[in-house]
This record gives sequence, C-alpha cells and structure tokens, in this order.
Amino acid sequence: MGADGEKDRQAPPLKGRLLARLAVLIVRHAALVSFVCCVAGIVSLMLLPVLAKSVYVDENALLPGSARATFSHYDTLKAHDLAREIQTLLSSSTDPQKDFRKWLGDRLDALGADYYFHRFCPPTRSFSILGFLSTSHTYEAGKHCLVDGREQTPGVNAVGILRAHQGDGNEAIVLVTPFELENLTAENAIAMGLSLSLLDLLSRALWLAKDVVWVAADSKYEKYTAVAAWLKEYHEPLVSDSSFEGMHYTQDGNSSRDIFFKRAGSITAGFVLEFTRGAGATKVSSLEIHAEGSNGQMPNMDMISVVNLLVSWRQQFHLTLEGVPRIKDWQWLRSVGYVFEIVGKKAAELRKAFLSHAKASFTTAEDYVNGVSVLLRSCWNQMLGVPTGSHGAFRDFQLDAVTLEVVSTDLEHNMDFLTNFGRLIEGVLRSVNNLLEKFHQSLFLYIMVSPNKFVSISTYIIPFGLLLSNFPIQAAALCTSVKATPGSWTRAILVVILVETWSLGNAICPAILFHLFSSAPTRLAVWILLSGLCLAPVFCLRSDAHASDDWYVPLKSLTLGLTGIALGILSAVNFSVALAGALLLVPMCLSAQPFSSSWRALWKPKSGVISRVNAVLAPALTCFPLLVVLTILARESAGLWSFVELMWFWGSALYVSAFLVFLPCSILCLYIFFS
Amino acid sequence: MAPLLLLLPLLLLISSIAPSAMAAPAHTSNWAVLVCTSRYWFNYRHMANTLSIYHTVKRLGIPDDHILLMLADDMACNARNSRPAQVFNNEDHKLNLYGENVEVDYRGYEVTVDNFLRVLTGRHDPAVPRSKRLLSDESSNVLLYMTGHGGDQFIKFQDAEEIQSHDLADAIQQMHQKGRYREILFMVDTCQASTLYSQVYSPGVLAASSSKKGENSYSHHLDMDVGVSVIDRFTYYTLQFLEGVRTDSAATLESLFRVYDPRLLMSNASFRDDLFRRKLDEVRVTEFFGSVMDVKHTPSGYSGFTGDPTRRSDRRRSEGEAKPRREEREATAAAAAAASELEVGAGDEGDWVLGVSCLLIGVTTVLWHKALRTD
Repeated sequence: MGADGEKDRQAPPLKGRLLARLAVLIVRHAALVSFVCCVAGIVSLMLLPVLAKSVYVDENALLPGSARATFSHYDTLKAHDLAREIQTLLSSSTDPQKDFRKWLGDRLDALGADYYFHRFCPPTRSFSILGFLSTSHTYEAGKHCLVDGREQTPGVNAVGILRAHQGDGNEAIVLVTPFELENLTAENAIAMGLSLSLLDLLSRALWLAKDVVWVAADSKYEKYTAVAAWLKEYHEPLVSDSSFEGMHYTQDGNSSRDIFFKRAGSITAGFVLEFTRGAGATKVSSLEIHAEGSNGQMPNMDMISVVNLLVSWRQQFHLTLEGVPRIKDWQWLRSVGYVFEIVGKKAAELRKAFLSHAKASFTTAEDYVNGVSVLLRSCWNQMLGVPTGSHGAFRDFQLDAVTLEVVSTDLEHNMDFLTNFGRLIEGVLRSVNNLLEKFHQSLFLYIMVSPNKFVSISTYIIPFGLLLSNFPIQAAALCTSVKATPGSWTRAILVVILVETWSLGNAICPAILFHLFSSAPTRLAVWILLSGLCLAPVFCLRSDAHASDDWYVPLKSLTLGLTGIALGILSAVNFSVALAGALLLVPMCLSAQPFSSSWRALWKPKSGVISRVNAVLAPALTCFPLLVVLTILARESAGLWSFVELMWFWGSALYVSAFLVFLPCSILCLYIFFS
Repeated sequence: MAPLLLLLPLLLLISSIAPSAMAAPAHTSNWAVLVCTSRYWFNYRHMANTLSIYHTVKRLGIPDDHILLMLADDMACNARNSRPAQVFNNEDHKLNLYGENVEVDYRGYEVTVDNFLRVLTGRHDPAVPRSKRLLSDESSNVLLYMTGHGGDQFIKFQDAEEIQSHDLADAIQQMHQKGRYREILFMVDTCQASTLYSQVYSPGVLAASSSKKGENSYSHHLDMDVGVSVIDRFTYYTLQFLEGVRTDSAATLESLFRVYDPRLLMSNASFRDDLFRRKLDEVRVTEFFGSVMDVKHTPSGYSGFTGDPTRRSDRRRSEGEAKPRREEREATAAAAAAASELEVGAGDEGDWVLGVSCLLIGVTTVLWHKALRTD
C-alpha cells in the first residue's frame, strides 16, 4: 500500500505534464483549434447522408421473409366485402355507434377472439408544474367527457384478442387500426376490412406463438389519445370504484361477457395500420413508415429493417420516409451533392485499386439530396418532441411500434397492392412472432436517411462533438488570456445567476398564467411584459463603470462553460435539439463582444483580419435570435401560445432547452453586446 | 481324393485372403455421441442435423443404447412450429424426424458442457443410469458429432456457456488414458469448425469439419412452410452420401470426405488424420456410422455379472495377449481354412479357437486317410 502510494506520488507529474502541455498548446492556439473544429463539424454534418450505413436485421431470431406468406387475393376480396358491409351499415343505421359495435363484436366473436370495448376520455390539457416530463394523463371515462367545457360522449375502442393456439399467453403483438365513425372514409373502411381479414387469417395460423391484440382505435379525439388511453389501462389498471362504474359498458347494454378489460401477455411490438388517400392524380401507391415517438425516441431499428427487408425482397412497394419536399429544389445542396458524388467516385476507384474486395459504392447527388431531406425531417420531428403518430403512445411504455401508412389514390381497385400489403403485414407479424424475448439487440439511437440507410449515434455524434468542443476550449482560452480585474468574476457570477433564475421563472410562467387568465393573447402579453420587466434590472447592472476593455471576459467564459455543459447534457435527452442548439449558439457565443469594442476594432488600423471579421459578424450573430423571436411575435403571436401549450403538453425537450439553455445564453450574449 | 481333400483348406484360405485388401474391422463395439448444442426456434436446423444423423446411425446398426443423443428438443412442440410434433430436415416434408422412437438421453437444459464432458470421460454421479453413460471400452469406435454455433476454438452450448478446443482435447485424452475408445471420428458442423479439434493430440482420432478457421458454415435450404432453415450444408451432403450406404457397403471414409465440394458447401470442409493410424481408404464408413465390427468369441462366459474379480482379471489378460496369439494363428492358418465357413465375423480369439480345431480336423483327416490306406 505504501509503495503504491509512493508510486502514485511519483507518477502524476510525468502524466500530468503531457496532458497539461497538450492543454496549454490547445488553449494557446484556441482560435485556430476552434476554427478547425467548426469547419470540421459543419463538413461532417453535411457528410452525414454520405456516411449512412445500410440497415440490417440485428436480431437473429426474427428470420424475416423465411416463411411463405399465405395472405391471398381471396383475403383481399374478403377485406373489400367487409369494407362495403361497414359502409352500408353506417349509411342505413339510425344509431351508427351502437350498430357498428354490435357488428364488430359479432365479427370478432366469429373469429373466436376475446373482445371488449374500452371507453376513454381525452385528457384535459392542463399545465401542471410538477408533471412536466413525467406527463401522466388520465383517460378515465364516466358517462360523459368534458372536452373544452362541453359534455361529449366518450371514445370507444374495440379490442379483439386472438389467443395463440400453442402459445403460452405470455406475450402479445398489437395491431392498431384507427377509425373515425363520424366521417368514415373509403380508405378507412378498407383498413378496417383488411385488418379483420388479416385477423381471420391469423386465427387459423398454426405458427402463432404470441397472442395478437387488435385495437380498433376510435380516433374521435385523435388517434394518439385512443391508443394511449388503451395502453395506459393495459399497463396501469384502474381500481377505484368510480372508474369501475365506467367499465360496465357493453355493446347492447346488458351482456356480461365483455365487461372487463382483458389483457394478453406483455406487448412485444405494435403496428399501426393507416390508409390515406394520396394527394394528386398519381396512381402510385406507396408505403410510408413513421417511427418517431415523443422527444424523438425511436423504436428498435429492427422494426424498420424488417419491413424494409420484406419490401425490398418482394419488390412490390415503393417504401418511403417522410421528407422535407422543398429541399429537393435547393440548387446549392444539389451542387454539394455533386461534389460529394465526384469525391466518392474517386474514393471508390482508389479503394478498388488497393483493395480488390472492397465494394465500390458512392452516394449520388440525387441520393444525397433525398437523404438530407429525410434526415432534416427526422431531426425536425425529433426536435419538436411530438410523436409523428399513434405509435408514439407505445414508446411511452418503452414498447417498440411503427406506423405503416399506405398512401394511395385508388385503393378500391388496386387488388394487388392490398394483397401485397396484407402479405407484408403477415410477414412482419410472423417475423416478430419468432422473437424469443423483447427486442434487445439492435439500435435505438439512429436517424434514418432513407428506408434502407441510417446514421447511427456513433456517426452523428461526431459533428456535434466537434461543435461542442469549442465551448470549453474558448472558455479556457478566455480565462487564461486576460488578467481579470478584482470583482469582475463576482459580478459575472451574479449576472449569470440572475439571468438563469429569470429564465427558470420564464419557463414556469406559462403554467401559472394558464390558471390566471383565460384567453391566449392576454396570457402571452402578460408573460412578455412580466419577463421584460424582470429583465430590466439585470441590464441596469451594467451601469457600473467598466474598468477595462476586458471586463466582459469572465462573463463570456462563464456563459461558454455553462452553455457547453448544458448542451452536452441535452444531447443525451434529445439529440436534435442539442445539435440545433450547438449550430445556433456556437457562432453567437464565440463572436460575443461589446458593441463598443467591435466598433473600435473595426476602425483601429492595427487590428487583424480576424478581429475585423468578428467585429462585423458579432452584431449580426448576437442579434439574430432576438430578431427571430421578435418576428415570430409580430407575425404569429396567436400561434405562439398554442405552440408553447403543445410543447408543454408533450413534455418536449425543446421547451426545456429553449428556456434553460438557449434563452439565458442569448440574453447573456446580448448583455455583453449592449454593455 | 486325398490330395483334393488336402487342397480344399488351402483354396479356401486363399479365397478368404484375396478380397480382404480392406482389413477386417478391429473394433468390437460402436458408440455414437450426437450433440446439438443449440436451442431456440431459429436454430431448428441444428436439431434437424442431429436427428438426421441419429436416424442414419440407427439405420446402419448402432442400437439406441449405444447412442447418446443430446438435444435441446424444443422444436417439435415449439409454439411456432406450424407442423406440431414434427421435425423435418427437408422442405418436401417426406420424412418426419420426430416420428418414431427417438430416444433422447440428455434433453433441454441437460445439454451442458458439464454433462457433455461427463459423458465423454465417464465421470458420472453414481445415480446416473447406464442409459445416459458412454460405456465404451478400448476396442470401441466412437462417432462424436456436434453441431451448433461455434467460433475460433469454441462451440456454444445453448447460448449459456461454451466449450473450448482445449477442454475437448483434454476430455479426449482422458478417454484415451481410460481406454474408452479405440478410434474416434469427430465430426463438427459449425462455423470455423476445424478450430475445435485443432488442440486434440490423442491417438486414434480422426476429425472432419464443415469449415476452416475464419469461415462460416451455412444452412442448406429454407422451409418456407415451417419458416426456418431446416438443415446445414455439411450435414446435408453427409446424409446424401450416407443414404447410399448399407450395412454391407464397402464405401470408405475417403469416399465420404470426397463429396464435400466447397462450391456446394460455401466453405471448405477440412479433415485431420495425423492422429489416425489407418489409411482413410481402408476404413469403411460403417465402422463409425454403422455397427459393422469384429465379434470376439470369448473362451468363457461373461463374468461381469458374477462379480468374481479373478475371472475378470483373466479376461483382461487374455485380451492383452491378443497380438501374440494372432501370430500363432497364422502359423496354423493352413489348417484353419478347413472351418472357414465359420469365418464371417470371426475375431482374434475366435480365430485361434478355430485354428486349433481346424488343425485337429486336418490331423484327423490325415490320420484317417493313412488308416484307410494301411487298411
């Protein structure tokens, strides 16, 4: 022990010296290092679609496509018949709700499925300060629901459970088909018909080892609400007497067999089937996958890769992911794509020349632009933190689910397409049925670039890391370069604490205002007024005489340090928000300096090129967020409040980061700029 | 008449020697240890591999009590099996491997490295029944077949543990020291299979594997109805060859090993015969996959059940002296031929007995002939 201690005492200076030397070197050349980091960060960010890897099925047990699909034209015909039956029933009925439930119950009964009806009410959108990020909405249904102050009938999900013949009943796969009785579209009717037809097929399947739970989700109050209500009840049974009252609900009012909420085993995976009418006259039917859950949580990548694999093997679909369509017209992006294409081609040739086995593949400009479009859309969805569909409800319970949306203009006459879709779903279900345990191998942290390409965290963390590294390096450089005047650190800490507290207050403010005022414009006005008034004293703090030109350095270095730490933590919660934050805050923070000193730098004959450029850029970069906020306030003031409400409701990380990271950082930069 | 009578034994002797370019098998019993080291539905093919080999060795004559079958056995009644209680090794579904009379010795979670090593080395708990033991001796030929998921120098047992090539080599050496085999044919169908026997150093071991180091072994085909791959390539082509083999076939291991075409296997099957004493073209396939063997006639009844220690030691000594007696037998070979109708399946000791009796018959014949003459 003693010897070890001695060794330790001897060793550190050697080790420390090297590290210290390296640190000193970096800090000394901080400007150069940060420049390189920024450029490398931006370039690697642009390169993400090129660096994307092909999707693969990670879990052995899935065995996608190893079984012959049995869904046939006969089943499609049956689906069409059922869809027609639903439509005639609804058009002729006097009480569509009741008749439809009766019809659905009979159908499910005929399949030998356990079925029941689940009633729910939409959650009240109330701001509760404590509930943020651990949002626990209640969907309890009484006789009526209170929606926006009016009494409405509750939503009713129909649920059918097919028990696997040889299964042990421990696990289940959930199929969700949203429907809306009030305005049932032809596509919606076909979706219901196809689901029932699929269930019919599954009820005869001998290979089923997991129970299949079909949820016909009443999307009267949004699809998400219906699924979330059912999932919540599935996992967290209500036991109070009053709620039990609500569960006594049957199709005809007195049958006793479907009183109870029935369950199957633990849910392995969920698939939401949606059919929508495509816009335009193009008759190409396509299949779109939506996967983003709340706060950008993705399902296990195998969920997407299995679908992609089955589709690409059978070559029957045009599989797509949501993109940002306008991006495809950006010429500059296309040019960047061409550059990458040329470079990629050369690299592929070189690789081929040196390694005979290497596959010579490169990304074409078209692929690049499409990749950027999908990537940006995915990042945007992640950033908002709002799930892109009812699959998001599964993610809240750590279950894997995706929405498969069929976009078609002519489903009634497109027999082949429907049959193929049925076969795809059957294949995917059989594949998931092969699973032996929960999905556990594959990736959770990834961003899709195209249906068969993804960027994993190991790749996309690089540009972020490069951008983030600017903060500590610059903070350290600032600390060491300038001899702080006495009292300047105290003042800096005071300002930072004041601004941070103010931001926290700002974050909580909407929740309090929500309860005080009823109209959105009043709330917004009071909010802005209050925060403005509170901020004014902070800006008044600057009235102390600034002893030297470098008085702001401690403040800037504190801002940099804090922002760096905050963004680092944020990247673990919601990567897209953190990345957007880094892109926005890095230039702003690095260029921050008082207006007076930049003015002087601009006209001083001795000042270098960098400081001149900085002097020009600083005002623009610092004021940019302020201008953006002002523009939004001027143009979309009505929408802003509802956006804030939406962010709060979904517990979006964007809300937290906007108020606790972006806002204090930009205010501090403004503070430096204006003083 | 008399010269003819004298010539007859000689002729018979020559006729019995001429076709035996392939020596008569020298072992006296055949054992098979068949191990499927995988479990779970997606490893269906490993169970099918093992069951196929099981049925083949049974058909070729190894009785069930000489086969130790280690199987996870979770396929036939797996909930995912669209053909319940059946296991197939081909998508034509003509042969149900689980149909009749499958005697699994180590089932499910009993298939462990521990149990496998105990079976090989014979170090069992006293409570383990005889049917679960490998009761081979130093004149037994043992077929050791393993299939599952492996890698460089190891094979996995049911995703829970693994056995390394060193352990296996050690177990085989123990078997050698304890006189538990005469020759072993060690067949492995797994990825990087050849690495598994690379450490073996005991004499009499012949090894064959589906792939070399760094290579994967692949499944042969997919059954779209059952929804899984049903058999591996190496085993498939082995079975294809063995289908043409009957108990009396003269097919040799050399010809078996020649059927592994790397283009069909998508890997290079490899062999190891540096520890094996005989040439491969002299070893019949049935010496390992069947039960064609040497039968010994013991001079006395089996004493194992009487528990008389002295008699047991007698027997051991007599076996030890088998070799010198063979030379003796050659000296009396001429006379032995007279009784060559008994030769089929005759062993060392039996030959000696036969030799003596032939000699007696010969001498009697000559004496009788002389007596007739003098008369």
